[in-house]
Amino acid sequence: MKPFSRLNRFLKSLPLHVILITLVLLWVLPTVGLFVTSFRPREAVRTTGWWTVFFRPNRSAPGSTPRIAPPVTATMAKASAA
Amino acid sequence: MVTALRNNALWLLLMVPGTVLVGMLFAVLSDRVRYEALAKSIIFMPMAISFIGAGIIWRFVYNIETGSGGQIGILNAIIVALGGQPVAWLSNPIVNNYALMVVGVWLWAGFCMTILSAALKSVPSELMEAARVDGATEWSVFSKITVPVIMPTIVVVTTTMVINVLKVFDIVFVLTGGNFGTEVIANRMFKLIVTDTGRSMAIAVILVLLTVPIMVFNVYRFRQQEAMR
Repeated sequence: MKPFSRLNRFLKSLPLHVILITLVLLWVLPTVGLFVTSFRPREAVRTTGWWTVFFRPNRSAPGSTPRIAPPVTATMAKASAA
Repeated sequence: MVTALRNNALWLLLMVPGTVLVGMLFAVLSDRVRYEALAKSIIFMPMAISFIGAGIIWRFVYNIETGSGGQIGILNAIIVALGGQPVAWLSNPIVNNYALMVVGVWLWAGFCMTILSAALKSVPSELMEAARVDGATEWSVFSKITVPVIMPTIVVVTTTMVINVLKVFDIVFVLTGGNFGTEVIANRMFKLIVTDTGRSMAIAVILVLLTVPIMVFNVYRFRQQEAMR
């Protein structure tokens, strides 16, 4: 008898929990988006949505695409020319 | 200016009830669960963010990509994933005002929730118990006991929100800059401050005049409350 009444109480309050948790997740979603975006490189932010981080971690993880810096000599030549 | 006045009226009409109702919903729902503190802190969090920061957060949400690339904004990404056409939330004059009001509700619902929740806790439980014993449903307990008891608080929250909405500026400024027919009074004032200072000041006076009735009402109500004591 006891476990059944407990289950009954849980089922009765289930809609309440579902509604509240859904609303809370909805409320926090935009902020999570900005938080994730703040860790992503600029190119990734411009081309893919922040949520793709969770589905394809390798494609948009910071540092996964090797960025080639211009050779030191080229920048030095530019600096001396200016 | 007509657009600004009309938009401000629309903001008042939709955002004030919106924030109070959503705040009430959160206060009532979170009052019945064990993780109340956690849920309430998450709802209240937008109030802790600066309004400009909130604007930037929502620029990401409402983003639209017109090219062939995928959508960056989550709202349009969802619409496209469901097979729809992406919506220009911020530049389409049919939806942009409502999109801005959603941001306003997101920001201010936490404020309403905190105050209403405090009021809910002060409702004497004997009253509610008595009604339940007499066979009242949860809804009639809420509408016939809880709401009348916390009515003074609801009035305070509503008047505060009316003043806040009249002053709304940051959200519109960051998200659309007052373009695409979303201008409000405070934005108009800011836009004219350099080019036409006299007119800008006149708009400021209008804004003050609009808040005067609410202030008078507030003072009147406080006096009445004092007289009751």
